[in-house]
Amino acid sequence: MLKKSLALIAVVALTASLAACSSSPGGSTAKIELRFATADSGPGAVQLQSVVDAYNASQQHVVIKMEAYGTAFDQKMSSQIGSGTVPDLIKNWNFATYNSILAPLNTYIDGLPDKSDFFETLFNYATMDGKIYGFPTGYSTRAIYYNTDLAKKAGLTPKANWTSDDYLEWVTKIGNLGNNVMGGDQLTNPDPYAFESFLFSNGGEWLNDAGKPVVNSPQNIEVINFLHSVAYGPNTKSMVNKHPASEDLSKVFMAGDLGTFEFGKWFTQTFTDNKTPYGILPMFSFNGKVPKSVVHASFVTVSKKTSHMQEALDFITWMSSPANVKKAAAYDLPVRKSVSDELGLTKDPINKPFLDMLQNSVDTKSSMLKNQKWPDFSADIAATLESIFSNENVDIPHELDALQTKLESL
Amino acid sequence: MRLNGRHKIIPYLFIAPWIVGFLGLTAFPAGSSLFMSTFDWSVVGNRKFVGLGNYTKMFGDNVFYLAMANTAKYALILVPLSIILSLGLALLLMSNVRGIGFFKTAFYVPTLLTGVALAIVWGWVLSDRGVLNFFIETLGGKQVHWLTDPRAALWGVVLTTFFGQGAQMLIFLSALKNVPSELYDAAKIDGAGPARRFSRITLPMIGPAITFNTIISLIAAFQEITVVLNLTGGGPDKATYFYSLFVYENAFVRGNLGYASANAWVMLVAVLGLSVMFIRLSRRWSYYEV
Repeated sequence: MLKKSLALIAVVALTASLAACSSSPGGSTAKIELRFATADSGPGAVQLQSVVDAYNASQQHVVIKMEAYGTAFDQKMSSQIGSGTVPDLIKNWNFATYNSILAPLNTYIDGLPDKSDFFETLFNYATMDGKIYGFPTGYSTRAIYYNTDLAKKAGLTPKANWTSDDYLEWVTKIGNLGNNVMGGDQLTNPDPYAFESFLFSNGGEWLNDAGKPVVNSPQNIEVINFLHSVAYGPNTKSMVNKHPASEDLSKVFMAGDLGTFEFGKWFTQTFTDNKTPYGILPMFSFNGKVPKSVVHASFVTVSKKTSHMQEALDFITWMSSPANVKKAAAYDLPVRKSVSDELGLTKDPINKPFLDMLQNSVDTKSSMLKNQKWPDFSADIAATLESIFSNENVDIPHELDALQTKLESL
Repeated sequence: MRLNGRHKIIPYLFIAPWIVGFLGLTAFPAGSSLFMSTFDWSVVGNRKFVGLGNYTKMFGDNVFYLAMANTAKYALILVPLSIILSLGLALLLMSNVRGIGFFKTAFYVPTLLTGVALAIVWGWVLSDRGVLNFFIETLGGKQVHWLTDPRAALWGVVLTTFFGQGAQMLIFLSALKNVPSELYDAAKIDGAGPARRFSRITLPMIGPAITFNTIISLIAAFQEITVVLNLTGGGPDKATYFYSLFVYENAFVRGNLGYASANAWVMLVAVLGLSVMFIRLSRRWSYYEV
């Protein structure tokens, strides 16, 4: 009898709980749920979550669930692609790897009434084979940070257009100040994507427009020779901070021990908050050419298998409105020209160099977007760059020739 | 007790959670990875059956040999050092001094740190202007580029991972406590000194613990990835590019899951082979009560 009573109670409880799941109070239908995956973590994820929360609060029938994967992004995406559970929306930039699971957004973007308000270059960085796979949410180019106090002490005056020779002079003069102050900085394991900024500034690149490797071009050899000679040459060897990417160079800079380094916009807020005396210069040029930079942009992309395409596009429209682009501008640069103007970024000495680099780089295209095999190419280029910048004595043309042969065989 | 009828199933129900966990979380993924290793299986796109192609490709891949050599070098340095350190600490903890509980805790605590935290903290310690170089230079030595000099980086990783030996120390401590004191008493009467007692009684009696700890350290050395990924990224110049990083890079950087699965199976076979070899060899110096 007792057993039967318990069984009855269990059945009633289960039925009640299922009924509770299937309807909400008031009899309204369940909201459409979209999953939104991002590799962001820490403050970036918190900021994005606040955007998602604001969107959810404005919606009656749609809810976005953010999933912040952090450094496990690629692993989680791999397993979800394998199991057919790809999120509806993905914050992403790695189109070489993921383009085949993403929906092209050309029609949506071409139909935007205010398309011309977005920086065109940003769309180039989401384009493969003519298809635009992502909508930009923020970006940074690369430029040179310098310590204003050290520059002043060394008698250096910043120039809007400066060359590799000027950079060498800065490293040497700041390095000569003594007290263990270093003039410049060199990663021992540079990221091939970011490093291409230097190559662009000398007319070089990793892959040509046809997607074929041209890593041992004279322009590339000249740039790498120059940077290696700054890091290891007899006159500046002890003046350059050589470190792996795992080391936080911002601390060395904030301590006043480093004169210059090349990076994206992301340290500006920290340095401003910390009252670090710093300024920003554009990338330096080689042989009188126009200095350029790759663009680090984040994009919202849509899975081509989503069953909620319209809701996904509605979210993008909301996120890219002038008000929301303005809100997102604390960390990245705004993707709208009107917002950049409104915030005075085109005149502000800290942000202007980054915007100038975007302007200069309108005709550049990262090698990442030129060949589907970029993940393989990138890993091999990274290994060669590390081999070059970790060793004082190295035959750079020989290393690049070997790399060219290897990439051609892939 | 004999179980009859439907009660016969009861013991199986007790072990069912483990069986289900093993089948679902170990056997199935392992079987899947063996299956994947016979395909050209990228993160996205089509899959193509290649049979043993991934395995033959691996043996023609110079990076495979480099990663294997680095891992072997790391294991050869780390395993003996970790055995010596954990055994030494266990021997110290055998001494009857006040506050031994505090020392036990203090020696065990480093084990609780995650690899990421270790890598961050040791990144500060080992940097050119870090604490370690400060001491070296204060003592009149020359700065060591632990993270940027290919000749020093492996030692930097060894230093980072070397101190987390708490679990091994406890295993040694337990083994040492199980050595019958009569053996030492008899040896003392026969005139054996401390060194002789240690080599002729202690070491053979704790032989199984040494074997166990060695195998565990060996497996840990072959699986080391968190620290290198966060401390050196496998550099400089691939000086700390370990086998696990090779597998990780092939899977999640290059996106070639089939090749990475083949890499993982070769690692499994290599570690299994080394473990079996060591267990067999250990019978020559260990004392087993069987």
